Amino acid sequence: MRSRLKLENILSQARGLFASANDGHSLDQAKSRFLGKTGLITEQLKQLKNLTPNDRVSKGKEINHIKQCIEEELQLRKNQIKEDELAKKINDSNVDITLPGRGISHEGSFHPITITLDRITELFNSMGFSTIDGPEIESDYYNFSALNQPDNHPARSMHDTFYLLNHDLLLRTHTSPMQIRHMEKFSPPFRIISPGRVYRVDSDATHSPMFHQLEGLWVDEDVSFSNLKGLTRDFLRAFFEKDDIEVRFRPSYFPFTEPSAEMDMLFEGSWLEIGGCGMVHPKVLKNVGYDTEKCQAFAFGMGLDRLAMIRYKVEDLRLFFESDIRFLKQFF
Amino acid sequence: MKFSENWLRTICNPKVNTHELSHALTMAGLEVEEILPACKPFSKVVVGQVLTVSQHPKADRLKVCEIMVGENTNLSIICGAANVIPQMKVACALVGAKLGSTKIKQAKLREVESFGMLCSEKELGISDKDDGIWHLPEDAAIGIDIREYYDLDDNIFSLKLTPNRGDCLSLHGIAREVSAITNTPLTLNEVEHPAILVDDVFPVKIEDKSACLKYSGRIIRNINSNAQTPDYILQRLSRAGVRTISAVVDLTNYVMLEVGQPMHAFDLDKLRGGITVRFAENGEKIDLLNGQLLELSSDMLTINDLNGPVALAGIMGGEESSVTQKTSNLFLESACFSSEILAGKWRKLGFSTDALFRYERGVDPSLGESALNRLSALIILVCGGECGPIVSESAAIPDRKEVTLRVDKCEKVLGFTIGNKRIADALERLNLPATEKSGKFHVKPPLYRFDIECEEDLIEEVARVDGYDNLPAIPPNRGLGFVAINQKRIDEKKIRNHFISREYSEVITYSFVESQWEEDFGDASTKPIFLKNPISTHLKVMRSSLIGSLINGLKFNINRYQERIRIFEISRVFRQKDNEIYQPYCCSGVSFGGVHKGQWGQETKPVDYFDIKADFESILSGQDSVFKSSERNALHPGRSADVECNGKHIGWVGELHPRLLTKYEIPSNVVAFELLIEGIFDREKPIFKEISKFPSVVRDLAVVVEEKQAVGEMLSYLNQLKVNSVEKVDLFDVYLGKGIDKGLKGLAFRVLLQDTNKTLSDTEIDEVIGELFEALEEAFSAKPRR
Repeated sequence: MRSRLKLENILSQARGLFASANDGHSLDQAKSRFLGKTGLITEQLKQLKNLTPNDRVSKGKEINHIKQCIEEELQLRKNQIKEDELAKKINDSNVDITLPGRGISHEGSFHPITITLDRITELFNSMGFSTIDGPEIESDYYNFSALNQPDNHPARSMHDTFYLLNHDLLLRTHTSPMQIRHMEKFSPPFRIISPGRVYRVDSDATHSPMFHQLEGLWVDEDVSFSNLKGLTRDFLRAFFEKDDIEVRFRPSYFPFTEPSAEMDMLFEGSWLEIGGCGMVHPKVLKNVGYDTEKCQAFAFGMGLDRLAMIRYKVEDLRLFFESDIRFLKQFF
Repeated sequence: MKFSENWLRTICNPKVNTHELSHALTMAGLEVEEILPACKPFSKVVVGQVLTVSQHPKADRLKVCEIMVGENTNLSIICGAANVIPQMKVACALVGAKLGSTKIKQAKLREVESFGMLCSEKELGISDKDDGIWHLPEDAAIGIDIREYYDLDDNIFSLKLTPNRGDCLSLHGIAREVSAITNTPLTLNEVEHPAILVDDVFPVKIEDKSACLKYSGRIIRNINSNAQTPDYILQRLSRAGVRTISAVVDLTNYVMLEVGQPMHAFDLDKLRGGITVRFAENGEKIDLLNGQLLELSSDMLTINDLNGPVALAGIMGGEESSVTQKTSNLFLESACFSSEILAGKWRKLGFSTDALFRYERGVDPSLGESALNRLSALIILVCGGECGPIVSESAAIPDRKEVTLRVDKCEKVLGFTIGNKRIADALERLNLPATEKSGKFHVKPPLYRFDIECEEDLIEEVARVDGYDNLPAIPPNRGLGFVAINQKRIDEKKIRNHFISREYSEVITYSFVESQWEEDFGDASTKPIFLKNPISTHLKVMRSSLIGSLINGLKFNINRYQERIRIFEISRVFRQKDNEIYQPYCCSGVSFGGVHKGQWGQETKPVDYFDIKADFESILSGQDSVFKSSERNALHPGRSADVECNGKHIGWVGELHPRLLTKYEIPSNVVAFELLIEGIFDREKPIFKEISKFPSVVRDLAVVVEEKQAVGEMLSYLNQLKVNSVEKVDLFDVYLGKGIDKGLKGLAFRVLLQDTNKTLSDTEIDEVIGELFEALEEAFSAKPRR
């Protein structure tokens, strides 16, 4: 009885000591008091040899039971201390999560004309138009002659052209030369758009000596003037995300289209000029060797800058070309 | 083309108001740019006659005038103008009149009552004349409303005519269009033939009848060249924007506006012999009416008398033979010059004229004589004189080619069923004589419709008169095909996204720049490409590099107190080699201010070469690139590099030369780069390689080398060695200072080893590292670092 009591006593003593140990080190010290070489449990086990074999077995069982209990207590306390330490570590490392992030911020920005062009390209690609690109320093032939404007044609005065010094070349006044360049290489049917920079000797709030155009050309067996109206209307509706946009064609004149039209769009109650368009002139088609009885084509040219101005309600065209980052960072 | 609405309505008067007329013209392709009232609004201003003028009793500068404004209606009006005299006809605003926002009331001026106001031209908005009361003609009827008297309830239309519609450069031409689009008849008066009272003629000869299809002339003797041009003609001219000069010139201009035939009046007494139309001889000279002494060349068509050129055919008369106040005998010219000969001449001359503008676009060759009769009749009416017979010489006027319009083709082009009836109706309204036979219309265009040459021209005419608004919008319904992949756009997008995610803002700037920028930042391998006609003298060279424009953009932003700026642009640049022009796409950027935006917990460090080199390197993502010391003038010689990728020059990166920072007043370091983007991503498509199942091993390699040794060389050397199982060598530390002798530097490389067949043993690893050591020692005299 007495020895059992003693063992129980050791166990409760251990519990007490373990509970008061608050870190790994003091727990280890406490552990050695019971389970170390001279620990109380070890001492008990050493004394077993003085007992009778029968007593030795029963006593041994009792001691081992208590030893196991102490080890369990020890493990529990060890886990608890680890938990506490982790909790403290976490608590100590908390930050103000509302502080701004570090390193590269997301301050860069796409140019509004790039964004506009990407939208347009996306829309026309979905209609089967390929995007092509061409030179900005262009020859007279592609910019004018091949587009049915021979030398001294009065229509040339519609475009105030930049010419190069010492070269028989000019800065393209429209993206239409790409019609010719593409038709020379490919046979119908096809659809293309060709966006890019164009240049005219003109400068004020609504005219810039450099601006952007988008050329479109669809050559097929029977694409018609009404198709052109339908396509441009649907494009404008998709681009501006407004289903009530109406398109108006006004008779106009471009030497390389016949019939020709100016395209206006009814937008938020007023008519806005969007660009020029028409059925490609048979002379132009014949120039590139197409059979005008077997194919017909329509073409259109729109002002990219104009579309961007309308979409973002920018009133002064010059803002696009000033590199003002306070302007540029407004767009996404 | 500007004209008076009321004048137009005397020839064709559709039952639509001004706004509707304007809309109809615009929708017919004759775009109305602007409509202005002929005169500001005012009311109750009538013609009055001054009866008496007496001094105001209380004011030295004022006069009390007795004005008759109707039978038995006299008004006492106080006036301050000096030019008021008895009998004068004046514009008198009655009590209750409105001049703009001013209302005329009965008023007391220094104790004397005034019952109205006498008006100057400026007060009524007639002109800017403000030096007295408007002096009206003697024959103005007393009491008549000034607006009625001067036809002021009129509008000035400005048309933006397309170059194909030369036939609409006259009131008759516009009226023809209005008639067609509004279905209103024309009221054209028969041209009166003046009585031939003298029989002398001035002979006319055409040398080249392809340049001058017809030349008609006539003499008018004994005119009064000081006669006054009638008011209604002056008004119509002024509303058309034509300056008044003298009666003869005014009437010539008037008939040109009316019918579209440019004409010229010579002083007959200053002409010798007869008229010859011929091309000039090189070096001949003429004094033009605009005061210019022009040296002629053999491509200029001239009108000559016995002594040489007296006018530039179809463009401008000469000073010597011009009509003056002393002229009493006239020789009138009405000719048809070929548009091919005159086209583009304005560019050579540096000026254009109303006549040239019309001839370039085509003048109806059948118009000459009737226009000449119309002008002669008007001159005789206004200036008096006796008229001689018309003398003409002409080539056979080429007949207009018949054009066929197929109904089915028309419907195929327009894309809807318009039907024969609407086609016939449109042609008829346009006065295009047509015969219809089995689905085809055969049209013989009138001489003035130079623009109708082929079937499509007629299709447009039909659609236009039928109304473009009637054109349905039918989305094309064709099968889709796959769109070709545009690699250039994909590459460009990749680059753009890259720099934007590294905080750059995209800019777009002009492709032409200042010569100075080109000198300072341009590509040295190219000669500048100049514009012949720049928009302004400073933007005269096509840029070979984007840096000048970007520095300009940088400065724009620095001036607006921006402290950290990163901008880039993707654009073509323009270069020439051996007179051949290249237009490669280029991406350039500049960076200024801190590496990062100022932020907490981290010191702000100004951007330097290595920060931007990282921006540059990361776009090349693992391609073999070599950075070589750069010799570009714009860059800091020790902090810039030319970059080669796969053995090809693809651009450069570097800090701007301190000399340029000073010159452009930039307060701190700028790092710039240029990337020629064409083909930089062109690589063989990757083929999958088995991933090794065996662990890789990392070992460090520390050496000491001469301080000036370029590490890049060592790295490429190590990576090219292809030592067994070495996968990659990177640099991870450069060390100077304690433990390293002066003039030397410590380098630490990290070696990644990997064998695909086995786990490497320590002995094998040591051998490889040893091999690398030896290689470095041999090639760069590297010593192991202890």
